Amino acid sequence: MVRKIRGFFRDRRAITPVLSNLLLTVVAVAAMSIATTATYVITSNLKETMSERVVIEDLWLNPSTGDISVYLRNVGKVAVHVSAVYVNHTSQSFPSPFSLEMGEHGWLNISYSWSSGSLYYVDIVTTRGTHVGGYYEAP
Amino acid sequence: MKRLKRDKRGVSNVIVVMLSLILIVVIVANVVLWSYQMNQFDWERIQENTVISDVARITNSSWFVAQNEYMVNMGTRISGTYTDTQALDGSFETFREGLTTFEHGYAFESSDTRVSTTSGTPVNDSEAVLNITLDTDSHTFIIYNAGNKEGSAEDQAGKGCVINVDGEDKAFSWQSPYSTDSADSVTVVWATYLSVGSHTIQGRFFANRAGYTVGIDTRQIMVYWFPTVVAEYVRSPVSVTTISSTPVDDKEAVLNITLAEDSVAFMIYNAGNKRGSAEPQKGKGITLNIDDSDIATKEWQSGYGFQDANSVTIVYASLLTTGSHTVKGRFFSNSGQTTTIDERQLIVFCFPTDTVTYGFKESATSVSTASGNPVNDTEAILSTTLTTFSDSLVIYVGGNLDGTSECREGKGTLVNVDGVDKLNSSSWQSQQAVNYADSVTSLWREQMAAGPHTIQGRFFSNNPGSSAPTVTISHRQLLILAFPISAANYRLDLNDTFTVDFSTYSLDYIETVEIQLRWRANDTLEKWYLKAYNWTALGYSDSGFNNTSGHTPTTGWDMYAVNLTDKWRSYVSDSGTMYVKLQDNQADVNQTTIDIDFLAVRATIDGTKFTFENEGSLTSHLVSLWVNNSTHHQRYDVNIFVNSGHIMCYIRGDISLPNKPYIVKVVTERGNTAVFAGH
Repeated sequence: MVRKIRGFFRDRRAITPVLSNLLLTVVAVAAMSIATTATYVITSNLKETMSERVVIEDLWLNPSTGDISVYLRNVGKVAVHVSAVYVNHTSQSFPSPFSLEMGEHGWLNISYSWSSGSLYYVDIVTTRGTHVGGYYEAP
Repeated sequence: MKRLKRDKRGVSNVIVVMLSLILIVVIVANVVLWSYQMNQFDWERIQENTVISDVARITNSSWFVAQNEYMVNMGTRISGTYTDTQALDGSFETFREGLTTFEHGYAFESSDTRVSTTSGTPVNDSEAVLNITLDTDSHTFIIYNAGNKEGSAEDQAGKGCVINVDGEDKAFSWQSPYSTDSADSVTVVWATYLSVGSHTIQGRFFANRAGYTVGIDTRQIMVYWFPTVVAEYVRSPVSVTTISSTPVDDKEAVLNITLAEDSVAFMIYNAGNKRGSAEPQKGKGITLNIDDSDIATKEWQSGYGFQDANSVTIVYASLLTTGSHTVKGRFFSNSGQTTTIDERQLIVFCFPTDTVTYGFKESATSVSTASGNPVNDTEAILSTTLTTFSDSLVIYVGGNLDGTSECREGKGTLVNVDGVDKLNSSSWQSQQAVNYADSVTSLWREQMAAGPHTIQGRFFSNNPGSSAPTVTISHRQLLILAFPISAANYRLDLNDTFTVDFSTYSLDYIETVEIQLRWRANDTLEKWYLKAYNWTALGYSDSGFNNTSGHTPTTGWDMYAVNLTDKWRSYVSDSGTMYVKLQDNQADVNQTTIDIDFLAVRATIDGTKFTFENEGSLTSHLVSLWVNNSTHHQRYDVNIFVNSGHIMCYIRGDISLPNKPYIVKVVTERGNTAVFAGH
């Protein structure tokens, strides 16, 4: 019996195939996990980007405050997060963070001194790159 | 096969390719499917086409019309249906006045045949029996007034009287005289709801001291029944006492009455103690209290002595307005010593004002006489004009307070109608001693013809030959209730339910409510009234309307409209329900026919009506409404679904349009916006 055990440990010919098979299995599983995760991430981002819809219900160049108030409604399938606001292609400050869950709506107040009779291009950009805006003439 | 088994590289390649393909398919499928969904969303959004076709200021709601047939309380419906009254289109519903006699019945008996007994338990007064038959269940009151004159056999402890209905003794009262064989009368009343069928009303009496003779020389017993009146009544044998010399509540004699319309209220309070109960020589007094105010008069009585039987009666009639009222019996001691009520009866019967002619006189002016023959109580006179033949009930109660001139043998009273003394209404009473309290009740009923009538209370001394024969009436009540029995009483009274749509016209923004009637009548001789049910006062009323003077028709088509002013909220329930009534002013001899073309209610508001048209192929869900002008942008939450091809009128009472120019926008759930510019 002892002789058999000693023989088993002295016989090195079977170890290499086993190790190589194990190593290949680990590599294959890891590769598939990475691929699956990448697939999930890629498809999720694509889905969210495709699902984002936001509309401007109303834009009020408020003469009493001198600001621009934009009433936004999230009509898409994901929450939206406003990352930047541009007036005439110039970035403007706004109460950040400003987010709207699905179906949510609310005022986004932009600190901007507008002039009566002037034309303004207001552009609101979300974190996923969606733009919503247009030209507005001040009353 | 062996080569294939050995060539493991090929298998690995196939597996790798298959897994890669799966991943690619998953990615593509996910993206493509989601893209399809969002494309569908965008496509639907493109297809959506809602427009605002009109925006207008509105000052009235639409008309809210009857949704059920009118309830005709008096009169009859001749032709047409309620749907004919829903539009101004010439189609109409016709009603005709109906004959209305106030439903009531009565029985009355008076007699001057003497009866007597020595029994200490009630025996029948053979002269006081009424057999009646009711056609319908009815509120019923019974009054039995019986007494002996001065000189008739009467035990000093006096007698008791009982009202017996269908063999069962129901109510008791007791009285004692000045002395043996002195005047002694007892009044007892009772009210109940008697069922349809035959009934026997019996007056009964007994000696307060068994074995001693008591008698009745004259009595009146009457029963009146009314199927439809508001009536409250209590009879209680619970003893209460007081030493107070000012009126205190008899806690067993409290009635709460709720009236749906203004009514003539008839009240009678009878309270007394039996022999053996604590009672001072000077006796007790009583009065009535209505809505926490004592009436202007009282009545008093004293018995034979300490702890002898002693009862008092007081009556009252007045107009009670729609709503809730409390009537209380109150009593007091004439000497500051303990006085007792062992049993009392308090009755209030309320008759709609158009069903009874009533007169009531109370006075606290003293009138005296030493005459043994009836003389006028100059303060007890009623001049009443009856418009029709009537059953007339007359009650006269006269009494003196302690300390006024009163012959010890007491006084008698009777009722005089149009100059004729009604001898069988006579009643007599004596008191404990000279100048002690002494009250007497006389009762009468007869049919009186249409026209003027004079009702007079009269009184006399029971012992004019004595050294001090004067008797006094310090306070008295004289009333007449005349119930028409003429056939020439035509009336129409109808009502229906109308519902103001609070879901469309918010309660908060309604300024008032209007009722409009287009109608014609073939009789121009009487006024007609639109009324509404007042949910606070619990009755029909036009109080607070801009027009309470009614409308006199011209025989052509007339418009009659009333505005409920700022009192409208009392007439509209929280659910928007209104009960609207049309009725004539009063019964008359002409049987009028009316045609109603239109009867409806509407709300007055200062709001806006938006008209949305869905010209797209999909249902639109409107979620935001904007009303903007150059200085203000106002957003309103809305929740409106407009089906494809439909036109939706949306009314908001809380939105007042600004001055032009303005812009109205509506935003759909999909993110589309429709704009209306008001220039």
